[in-house]
Amino acid sequence: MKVRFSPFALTLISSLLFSSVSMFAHHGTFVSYDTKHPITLTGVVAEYHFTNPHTQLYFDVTDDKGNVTRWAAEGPAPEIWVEAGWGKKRTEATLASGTKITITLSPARNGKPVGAAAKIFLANGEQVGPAGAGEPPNQ
Amino acid sequence: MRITRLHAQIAGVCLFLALATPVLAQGQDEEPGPPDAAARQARARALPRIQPSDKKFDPHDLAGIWTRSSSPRGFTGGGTCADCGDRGYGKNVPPMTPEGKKLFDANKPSYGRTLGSADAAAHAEEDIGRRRAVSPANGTDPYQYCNPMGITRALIFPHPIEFFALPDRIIQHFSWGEGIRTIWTDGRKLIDDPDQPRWWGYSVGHWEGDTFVVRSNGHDERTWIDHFGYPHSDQMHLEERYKRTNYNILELNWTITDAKVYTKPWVGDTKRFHLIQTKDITTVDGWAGMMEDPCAPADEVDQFDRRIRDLTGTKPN
Repeated sequence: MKVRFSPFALTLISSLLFSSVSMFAHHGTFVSYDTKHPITLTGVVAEYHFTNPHTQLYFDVTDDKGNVTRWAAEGPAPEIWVEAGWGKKRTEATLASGTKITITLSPARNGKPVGAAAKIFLANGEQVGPAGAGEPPNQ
Repeated sequence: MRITRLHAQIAGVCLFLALATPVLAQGQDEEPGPPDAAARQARARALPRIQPSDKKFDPHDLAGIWTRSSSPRGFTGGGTCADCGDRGYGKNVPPMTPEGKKLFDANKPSYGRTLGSADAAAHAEEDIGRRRAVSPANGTDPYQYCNPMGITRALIFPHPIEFFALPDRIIQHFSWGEGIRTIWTDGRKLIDDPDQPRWWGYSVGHWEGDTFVVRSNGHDERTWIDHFGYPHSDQMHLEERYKRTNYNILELNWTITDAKVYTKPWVGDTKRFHLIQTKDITTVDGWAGMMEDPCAPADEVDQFDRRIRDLTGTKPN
């Protein structure tokens, strides 16, 4: 028997899954972010800090007119990175200043260039950090 | 019987609901998570940790590392987790005194359903304390500035807590925030209305059968009872009753009495902890034991709050 789930069933399962998940921020941070409409950006790392309880990523995004916007993103706490095998040295080396990344984040509801990071990928497609399963963006 | 595609779909959805129900049921502080949080939750659900063990144990031995978190290393962070249970002190909030209501209104938490949202309106059955979250930049959570959490909130947080049992005291070391709380077992009595309230109060403990009973007072009123911003005064008396019901399980029942804020004692929900071993928590290079898990103002207040958190609110930057 070949079992296939209809679009309806898949939608139901997905919506239940995403409505029941929790988060990692220590201060109720996700009240500030639009987690239902994540966006994907490509930019260059300016700073990365492996700090407790929020890791911090700052990166520059250049639009097609050459305007550069400095974005800030908070990420999971160091213990979550460590649990996934990403220690401080490896993470900071991987996200060194100047590194090109593609990041999916939940943007701030107030429209500022700030977000809660969900997935980070290097230019070669390698996923960085403890993000969950998922295909690299644009694939 | 022939299994049709429809049968399979219904079975699949039912199976999913069965697996998801514990999470749905406990997630009273549902804040939306990042898109990838589902994978972490799925992993956590696959590893339920609060399970009985066959190992023998001494019910008077509370020493060890206990945690409410379901993750293998005992850390979860600020949200919910598969078997952490509810993230509040208790759902049966007693009516507040006029002064208590004033304190409650002054506290602006960032956990729970978003204030004024359709989600908050749709859950009128919940106490308003769980339906008034604002952006942290616009909130008043004392922990955003790395102030000590206080006993009740620290015990609820799903990070490891190490109990050290000494001849005259039990010390609780809270991983998150690196808090230290001393419970004296040397027979002393609490001082009535201590001169100086403390972030971690004054605590004494004794055994009643197999239950370790802890009474405390002198709590600094700047701490919150839980992350929903329920207040207490410096007149709060807290009674905690710990019982090790299994090698792997420690249960906590507790009651707050604070006539200045609540019109009757507030019995909190039972909290359950499970035991983890020192070797369960390691750095990437193999150093075992409790992690250093501080809220350092140099990182959190001077950097994160200023450079990220504050940008997400409506306060002038």
